[in-house]
Amino acid sequence: MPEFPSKEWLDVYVERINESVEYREAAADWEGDISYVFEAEPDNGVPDEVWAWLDLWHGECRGSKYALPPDEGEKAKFIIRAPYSRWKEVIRKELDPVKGMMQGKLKLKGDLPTIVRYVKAANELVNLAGSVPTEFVDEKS
Amino acid sequence: MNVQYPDPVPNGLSTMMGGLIEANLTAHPERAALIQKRATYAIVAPDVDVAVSIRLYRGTVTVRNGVVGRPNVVIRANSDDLMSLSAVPLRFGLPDLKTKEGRDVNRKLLKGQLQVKGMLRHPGKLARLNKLMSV
Repeated sequence: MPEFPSKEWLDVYVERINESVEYREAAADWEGDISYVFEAEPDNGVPDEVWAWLDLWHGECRGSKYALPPDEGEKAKFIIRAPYSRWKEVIRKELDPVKGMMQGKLKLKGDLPTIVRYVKAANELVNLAGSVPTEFVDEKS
Repeated sequence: MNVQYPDPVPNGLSTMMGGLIEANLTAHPERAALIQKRATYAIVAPDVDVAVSIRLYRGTVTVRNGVVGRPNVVIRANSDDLMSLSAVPLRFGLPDLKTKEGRDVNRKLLKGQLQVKGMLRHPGKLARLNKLMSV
């Protein structure tokens, strides 16, 4: 089972995105890359901030990078940032991403009108993250 | 900058609503005409316990956390409905009932899932907000 956060986890996530008919339909016109920032929580096994990048284009993920330098990740059209434990809540579907953004638990940087137009695609991306069998780094046996 | 955030730490809804207006004003400079006359709004999302106040006046949009004073128009809806409101096609600044999305808004209004206080007294101000937020 892939550990979160890790490159293995991201690779399985990308596979899930590319297998998803729902995502392909919801994001059919989407053009833009996205960076996820997993903020450090040393007490939970994430000593440093981790950047993950997805190249999303017309309903598919054309590429991904894990642990890329922040100055590279910051070039993405959209950036979603939150502490590790918040991401864990999102992946476990305990925190809805839209609600999380409104509460300031997830920080979004990027063109908001685009996010509003593609809110279904954004939700589907999060649902897919929840479909990856995940071992969280702070729960490793 | 047309959009101001006086609070030291704007809440998530303030950031989103302000960011949406800011992006729309940049993409559609003609919408700057909508923020000249005074109007005050509150948007409340009870399911996430977050509210925002928006004031338009002399070309500036001021976005504050919570409900400030007595706004002309108060919109109360769950977070998902608030997001979808911005994507509803408009006709004369109000949801277009010829579209499915517009009829959905109407249905939610009738059911009380979406509450708009001040809608009848300030239809012009409501239409201005809708146009400002529309994507």
